[in-house]
Amino acid sequence: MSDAAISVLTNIGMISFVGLSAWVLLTVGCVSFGQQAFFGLGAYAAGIGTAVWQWPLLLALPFGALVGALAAALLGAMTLRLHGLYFSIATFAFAECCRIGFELFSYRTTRDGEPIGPDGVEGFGEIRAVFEAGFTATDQLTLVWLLLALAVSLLIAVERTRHGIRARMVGEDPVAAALHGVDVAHVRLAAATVAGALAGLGGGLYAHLTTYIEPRLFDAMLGVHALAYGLIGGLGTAIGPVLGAALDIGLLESTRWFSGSRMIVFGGLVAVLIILRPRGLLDEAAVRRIANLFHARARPRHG
Amino acid sequence: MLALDRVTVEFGGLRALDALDLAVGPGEVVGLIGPNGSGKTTVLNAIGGLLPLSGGEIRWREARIDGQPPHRIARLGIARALQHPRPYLRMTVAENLRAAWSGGHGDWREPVEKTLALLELEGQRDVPAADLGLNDRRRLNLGQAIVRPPELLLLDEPAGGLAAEEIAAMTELLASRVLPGRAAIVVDHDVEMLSRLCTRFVALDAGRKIAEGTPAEVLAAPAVRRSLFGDA
Amino acid sequence: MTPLIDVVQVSIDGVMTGSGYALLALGFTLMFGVMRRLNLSFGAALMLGAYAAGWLHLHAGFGALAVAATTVVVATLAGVYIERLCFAPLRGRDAIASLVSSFAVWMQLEELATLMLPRHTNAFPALMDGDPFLFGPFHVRPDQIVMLVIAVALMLLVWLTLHRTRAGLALRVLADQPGAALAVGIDIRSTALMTFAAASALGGIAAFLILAGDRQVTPMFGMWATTKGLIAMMLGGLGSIPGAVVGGLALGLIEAHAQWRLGPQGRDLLAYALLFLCLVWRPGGLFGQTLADTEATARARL
Repeated sequence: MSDAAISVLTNIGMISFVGLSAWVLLTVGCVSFGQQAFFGLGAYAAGIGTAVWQWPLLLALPFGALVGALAAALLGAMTLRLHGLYFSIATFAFAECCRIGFELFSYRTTRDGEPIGPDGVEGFGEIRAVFEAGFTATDQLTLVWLLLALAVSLLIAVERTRHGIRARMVGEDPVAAALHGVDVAHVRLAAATVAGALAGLGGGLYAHLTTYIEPRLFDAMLGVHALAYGLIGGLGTAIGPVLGAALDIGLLESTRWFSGSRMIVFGGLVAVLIILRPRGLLDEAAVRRIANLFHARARPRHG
Repeated sequence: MLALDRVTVEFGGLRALDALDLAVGPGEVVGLIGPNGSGKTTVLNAIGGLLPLSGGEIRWREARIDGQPPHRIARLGIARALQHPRPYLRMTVAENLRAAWSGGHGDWREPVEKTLALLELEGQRDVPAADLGLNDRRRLNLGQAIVRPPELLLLDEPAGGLAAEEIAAMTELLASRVLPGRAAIVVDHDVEMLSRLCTRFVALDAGRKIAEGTPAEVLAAPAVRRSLFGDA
Repeated sequence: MTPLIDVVQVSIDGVMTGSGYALLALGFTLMFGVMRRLNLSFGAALMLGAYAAGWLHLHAGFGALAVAATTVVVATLAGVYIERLCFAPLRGRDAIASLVSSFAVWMQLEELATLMLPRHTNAFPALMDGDPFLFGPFHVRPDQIVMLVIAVALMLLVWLTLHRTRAGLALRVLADQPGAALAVGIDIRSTALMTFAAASALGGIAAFLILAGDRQVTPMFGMWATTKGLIAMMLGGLGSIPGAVVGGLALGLIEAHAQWRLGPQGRDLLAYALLFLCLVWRPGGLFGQTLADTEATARARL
C-alpha cells in the first residue's frame, strides 16, 4: 500500500473517533456541536502524559480517554436536562470556551535541554512517543484501526443488550421511554460519558500520530463535521460515522478533480442526502435489510 | 392499592382536577367517564407522574408517589397505554414489545412471545410499527403496557377510532384475557364497552367527581345524564 | 485620562459595535422566528456577498456604494438558495435535518467565497474616510455613527413592517402562532421565503457596515457573523425581535469592556461563557420565551 494511502486511511481512522462520539449522542437524541472539545482535551492530556510527564503511551492514551469522559460527564450533568436546541448551542459554547482555553493554556518544561509542552496559540509539538517507540506508518495504521474496530464492535455488541435498546428508546421517544421505565437522564449521561471517552481516545491518537496539535484544530468546523459523518454514513449502526468520515476524507485526499471545490461538492451531497435519506446511508432500515441478508445466508430455508 | 386523596391539578389558571378522591383496590377495574375536558386523561397523567399536583396526594400501597418521575412510577408496576399510540416507529412490533420490557430486568423472549400470542400479533412481529394500521397499533399499545405484567393498568381510550367489529374484538380481548384479576382504570367515551369491562364507574365533570358506583347506578344518576347526554 | 472617561469611551465603542451586532442578530432572529430552526449558514451567505463585492472592488474598481449593493444582492440570493435547499424541503422533519443541511451549505458558500478571493486578508472599501468626531474627551469615528444611524433606521423599519403591514403580520403570526397561521390562510411557504430574503438583505447591510469599518474581510467572517448573531439572539431571548436588538447592543458593550480588561481572547471567552451560563441558568434569555413547544411548533409548519 502506498504511503499516501496509508496516511489517508490513518487519518480516516482517527477522525472517525470524533464522528463516533457525536453518533453515540445522536443515538440518544442529543445533537452535540461540541465533541471536538473532548477530542482536544484527550489530545492535550495524552500529549502531556507522554511528552511532559514521560508516561508510556499505553498509559497516556487511556488517560486521554478518561479526561474526555470526565469532562463530558461534567458538561452532561449541566446541560442534558436542557431542551434539545439549548443543549446543542450549549455544547457549541462549551467547545469554544475549551478552544480559547487551549489558546491561553501554557505548560512548559524542559526535556533534554529542549522546551516541551503546550504553548497556547503556538500549539503543542514534539509529541514523539510513537516515533520514539519505532512505530512505522503501517504500525500506526494498525493501532488506529484496531482501537477503532474495538470501539465499533463494543458499540454494536451493546446495541443488542438492554442498554442498547434503552438508548434507542430514548433517542426515538423519550416520553414513551420514561413510561416504559427508562431513566432518560441517566441513559443520556451515560451516553455522553462514553462519547467523551471515545473522542478523548481519538484525540490522544491524533496528538501522537501527527506529533503536533494546536487550538485551531479543535474548532466548530471539526465538531459539525463529526455530526455530519453520522448523519451521512448512517444512524443505524456504529459503522455509519466511520463510513461518513471515509466518504469525506476519502473524497478530499483521493480525488484531484475536487481539490479546490471539495466542500462545495461534499456540502451539496450532504444537503441532498439529508432530503432523501434522513437517517443517512446505513439507516435502521438498511441495517435491517443487511442483517436479514446474513440470516438468509446462514440458515437457508429452501432446499 | 391506589388512592388519590383530594388531588388538584392546575395549569395556566385552569383547574383540570379539583380535590378529586379516587381509589382502586386489588383486582378492581374502574371506569372513568365524563364529557371532553372533564379531566379523565389528566387523572391518568397525574398518576403516571407526567403532571405535577397542585394539591393532594397520590398513594400507591400506602406510599406517596406524587412528585416521582414517570420512569419510577412505571417501575412500580403502573403501566399506561396512551390515548394516541406512540410506538417506536423505527422498531418492529416484536422490538417494540421488547423495548417496553427493557425498562427493567430479566429475559425478554418469553414475555414478548406470550404477549404476541395474547394479542394475536404473531403475524406482525417483524412489521415496522410505522406500517401498522390503527387496530394493530392499538393492540401493540396495549401489548407494551402488559408485556411486563403490571400491578395497575391505565388504559386511555383503548378502542378509540376503531370500527364496530374491531371494538367488539378489543372489548372481548380486554374482558377475557387482559383485565381479569388485574387492577385497572379504563377511560373511554364508549360507556357500553366500559360497562362490560368495569366493576365500578367514576363520573367526572370539570375535574370533579359527580358520581360513583356500579355502572348501572352511575349511568342512571341525573347529574351524570345531564353531563354526558344533556338530559336528566 | 481618568478611568471614568475610559469606561465611557469603551462603552461608546461597545454600543457602536453593538449596533452592528444588533443588525446581525435581527437578521438571524427573523430567520429563526419563522422557521423555528437555526440557520448555520447565515454568516456564510453574508460572507459570499462580501467576497463577491470584494472581488468587484479588486478587479473592477467598485466603490463603496456599489460594494454595498453587491453585498446585499448576493447575500439575498444566497439566502434564498439556503431557504430553498435547507429549510423548505425539510419543514416537517426533526430540527437536526436543517441544522446539518445549513451547515453543509455553509461549507459550500464559504469555499465558493474563498475561491473568489484566495488570500487571507482582502481589502474592503471604507464607507468614508475622516477624522473621528470629538465630543469633549470622547471620540467617535464617522463611519461608526453612520452604522449606528443606519442600524437604528433599519430596526425601526423592521418594527414598522412587522407591526404595520400585512406581510409583517403574516410573519408574526407564523412566528408566534403557527397553528393559527394555517387556519387564517397565511401562505407559509412564501412568507418563509420572503422573510429569509429580507433577513439576508438586512444581514448584508450589517456585513457591509461592519466590514467597511474594518476595511478588510477575511475567511473567518462567515463563522464570526453567525456566532455573533446567535449569541446576541440567545442573550436577548430566543426568537424575540426586540431581544435581538438588546442582545446585540449588550454583546457589543460586554465585549468592548472584556477586550479592554482581558484582551481579545478574554473577550471571546467571556462571550461564550456568558452564552453557556445564559443557557444553563436562564434559557429564555432577557426577554424569555419558553421552548416547550418549539419542536411541535416546527413540525407543525407544513
